[in-house]
Amino acid sequence: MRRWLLGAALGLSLAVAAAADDPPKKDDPPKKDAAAGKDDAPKTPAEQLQALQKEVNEAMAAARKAINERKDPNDKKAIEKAIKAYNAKQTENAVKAVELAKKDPKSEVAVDAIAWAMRGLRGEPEAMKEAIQILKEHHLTSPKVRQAVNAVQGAGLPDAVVADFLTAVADKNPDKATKANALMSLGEMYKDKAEPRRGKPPADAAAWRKKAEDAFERVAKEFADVESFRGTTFGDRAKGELFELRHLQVGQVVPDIEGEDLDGAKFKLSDYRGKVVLIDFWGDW
Amino acid sequence: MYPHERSLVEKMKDKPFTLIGVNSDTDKEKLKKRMEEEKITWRSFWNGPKGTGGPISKEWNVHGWPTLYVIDHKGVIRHKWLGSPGEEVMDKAIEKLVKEAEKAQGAGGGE
Repeated sequence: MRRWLLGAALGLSLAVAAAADDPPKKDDPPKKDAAAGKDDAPKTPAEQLQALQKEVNEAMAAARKAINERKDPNDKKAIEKAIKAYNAKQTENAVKAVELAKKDPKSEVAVDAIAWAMRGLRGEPEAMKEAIQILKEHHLTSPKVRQAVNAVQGAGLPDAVVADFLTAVADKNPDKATKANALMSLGEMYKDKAEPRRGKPPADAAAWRKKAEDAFERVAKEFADVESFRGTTFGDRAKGELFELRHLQVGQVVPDIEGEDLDGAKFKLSDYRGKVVLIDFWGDW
Repeated sequence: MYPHERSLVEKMKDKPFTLIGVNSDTDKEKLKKRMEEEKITWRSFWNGPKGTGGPISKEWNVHGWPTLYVIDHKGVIRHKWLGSPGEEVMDKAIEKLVKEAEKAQGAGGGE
């Protein structure tokens, strides 16, 4: 969500790079293509999914190996190349997993395939759309839609498709955290629609903000005590979003800050009224 | 950020402008040493021992660092940047608002 900090790609490269520090496994995987179609017996859908997953795991291992065994430790290109190859395989098999799910969309294998594929579908809006449609039609009560709730944002899908899906999850899924997560994602999507583009707010910013507020308000009302990440509750998160929407928009009078400086002296933001103030949320890291 | 901020503060020292930080480091003493090294002279609120989970960033719904707000002389939020927008954009925006503030002062003292 907070894409100016860590993009998904960077997250992945970190994961691969971190994995590269692991000692190499004893039995290195066989060359790719060996896994798929080595015997001609027809595979069950579950086996087909396993084969797709295995190939991606092998691609991960190969990327890890390439990174570990690069000759020059400063060779960034070797790392990029390895990650790129892994990403390509992940995407390819994610699309295949959606094809598999389409053959029997009501099955448990279908929801497993889609849940697994989600991360690899970011650059594949068509396959993502089909995957979401299957979840919406057949699997809204499954605990496995959670991955999809986190993955649909920023995947290049039409807003209406995302909004329909998230609203349906919030209404139909029995799990409170999943419902709350869906509503948070919905609110964040609307909030983002209201953000200025190249310095200019969109014409319908107020309407988007209202929709965002409605979603966050529902979280604050219905799921305030449900635990979210790192010891926060969904109530905390929704409250923060609502405060920002209501009081921290361009054109509004800034709320005061009262606090202490680094020497412990009390002061207020409003002490500087009459001057232009640049407020910088910063850290020395 | 630091070199640009230092030059901005220096350039604007006789103008109606101030840079206020909201700092989310957990170790204040270590930070003070770093600030001496980096010649960070501007004032900061301290976000408390919880660091990025402290009360000010929590109330302001800040999830990414740096997050920047520009407030005009009347206290109105004029810009909000999630991540630095680049030195040029920042300088231009601030200079424009400083001119507005000076004009208001010249006209007999703002608010």
